[in-house]
Amino acid sequence: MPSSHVSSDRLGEVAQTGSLAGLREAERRHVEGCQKCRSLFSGYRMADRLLAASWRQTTLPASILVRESARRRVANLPWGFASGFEFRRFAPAALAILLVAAIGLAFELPQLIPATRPSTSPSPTATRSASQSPSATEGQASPQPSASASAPDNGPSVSPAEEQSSGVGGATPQPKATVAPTPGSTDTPGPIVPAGVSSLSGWPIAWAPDGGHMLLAQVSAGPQGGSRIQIRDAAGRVTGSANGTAAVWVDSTTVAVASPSAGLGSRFAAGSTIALVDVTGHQIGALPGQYATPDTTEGLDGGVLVGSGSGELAVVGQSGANFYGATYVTRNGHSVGASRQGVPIAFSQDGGKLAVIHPTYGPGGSLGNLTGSLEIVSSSGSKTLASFPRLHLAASSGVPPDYPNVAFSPNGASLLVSGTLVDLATGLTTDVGNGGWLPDGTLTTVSNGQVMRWSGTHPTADSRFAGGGVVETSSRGDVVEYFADGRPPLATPLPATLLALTPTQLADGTAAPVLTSARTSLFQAWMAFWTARMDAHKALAALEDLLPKPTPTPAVTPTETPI
Amino acid sequence: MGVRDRVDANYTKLFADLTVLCRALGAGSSAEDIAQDALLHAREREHQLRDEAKLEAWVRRIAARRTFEHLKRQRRQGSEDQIVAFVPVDPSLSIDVSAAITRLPGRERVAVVLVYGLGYEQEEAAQVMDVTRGTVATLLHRARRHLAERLAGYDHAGEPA
Repeated sequence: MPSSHVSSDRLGEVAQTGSLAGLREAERRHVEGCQKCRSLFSGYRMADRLLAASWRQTTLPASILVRESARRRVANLPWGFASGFEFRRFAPAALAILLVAAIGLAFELPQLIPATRPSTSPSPTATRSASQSPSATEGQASPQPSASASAPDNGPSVSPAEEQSSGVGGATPQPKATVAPTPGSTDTPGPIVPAGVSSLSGWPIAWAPDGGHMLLAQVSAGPQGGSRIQIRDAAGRVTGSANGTAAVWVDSTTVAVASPSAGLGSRFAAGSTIALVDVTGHQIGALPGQYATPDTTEGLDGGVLVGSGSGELAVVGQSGANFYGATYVTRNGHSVGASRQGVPIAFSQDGGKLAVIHPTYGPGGSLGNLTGSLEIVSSSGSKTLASFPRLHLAASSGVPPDYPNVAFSPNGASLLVSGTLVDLATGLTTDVGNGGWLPDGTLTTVSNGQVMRWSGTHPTADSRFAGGGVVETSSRGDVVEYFADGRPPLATPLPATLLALTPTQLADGTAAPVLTSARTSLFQAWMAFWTARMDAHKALAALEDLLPKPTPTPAVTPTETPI
Repeated sequence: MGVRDRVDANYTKLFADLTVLCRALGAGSSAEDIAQDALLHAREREHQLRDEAKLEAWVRRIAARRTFEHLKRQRRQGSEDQIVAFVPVDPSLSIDVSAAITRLPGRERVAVVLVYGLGYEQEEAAQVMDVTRGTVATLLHRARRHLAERLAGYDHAGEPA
């Protein structure tokens, strides 16, 4: 092996090609035999890989600097790295001497110190356990859930009775700390007496991907105060229920439920656990640990569930979300992936892609009002498919309990983020308004008060709709427009003619024959409209009760004014 | 159209651009304030701009300088438990590797953030840093070497070997 090292610049030059082939024969032989040169070469490759990665704003623990340098010191010891300095040869001996001295001192110290003087120095163990783990992948001492999927199913969202009946949660020992009692958990589990569509009550969350079942949040004190998720079939019959108010469909037969929860829809409150239940409400699995550790410094102390409908689930808030350090995990099948940075907002329709927002704006926002750069990752989150660090999107719902209105196009090439259409190939954006995708890839939105159909970035007004409302689309090709002012919703199962529907028709089922293909959208539209209307009526009634009743004024009779 | 009018007409775009710049340079939650200050400064001191075609570069330079002053003040005020940093993040690499960027010498780090992080051309980065393009190229070269030396002990997964 030639004795002279290859220069750093020369190594950097060939590292850009990715192999040692660019070196002269003698240089190559040296690098192959010299650990120092080989390490520097791999360092260059690592640096190039790092610089080519997507950039994000993130929170790093200050302690990482100390820990990294300690690691490097160990890495640079003679057994791990070719020593360039003589003192490294003595490092092991010096360490051993220090260790022996420390142990000896530890044994001798209590005898040297007078017995009356209490020891005040904290133990090293206590110091270590108090230090915060900077990375979820290294969180052995962290209270966060582990990235491994082998943790027991601990689903506190299901009452003990339900766990016993399911035979899943009860068979596995569960850590007591995570089985927090849930308000309302004494409800009788399992199917209850079927109810007609007209007697449905609750806050609509979502239909199953196949349209066979729906989720309703049973609210107990206003829309934010519910405590139970009800699963009903398409005819409105209850098939099961579980504690919690935040839920999403993982696939057509599995629901992820967060509890205990003060959230609604897909958003859940701090300190929640995530259980997986089937359509009968029986627990079939759980994600390990707790989610959405409260962060009091930056707000955003909740989490959110994102389901693909085809088996994937993403959960944000694993380690405490704030605007600089939100993290999430994904679950595919039975395994939970490592913790990643960002806030997941939507899966593609085939479940292969996940859109993630990396929040950049500071305190004051919420999970329903995100601003940040966009990244498209694989469904496990391990691979970045597209990154738009300079594209800053505002993802908001406009409706407080809802999560940002985001949807991939059917072919996964575009993303609709709260009214902004993003071309995922170029990063170009177009303001199109809120709406949804039809199966043929047509985007239908409300823009400038009109219902528009978009072919690429070219809109065409659909004059069959009145405009001025909110548009929803179904996966079967139906379009519904509903209105906040109480007008009945308009719907069309394409390419049929426009039908004007009333809540009564929907409720008594007389409109069912024409709604078969449109029920997914229509029912949600009706529920949203009807629930909002009922809430408004209740609020008005409550307000009227509070206001003083006007006393009947006596009829004014003309009186003569004394002169 | 004067500087003031151009700033007003392009306020949203300039503000967003400066906010991203300040945040990338480490201003954190103060980025919006600094960006706003920089634009106000530009409006008030419009006579200081010699070449109106370079308005964007000028306001970027103002914002960058104010960010550095802000960071200097912040350092004097004491250490924090956490640092907000704009760093490259590769899911397959350890966070230690990403943190290597933050340990680069100041000017090298700024050059790397501007060129690799924000996608500026070397010429644009030079204008922000108030140096020549050649200096930026040199800083980038040194930064790469320093990173390579720091990451020499790491394996392909970004863990210490």
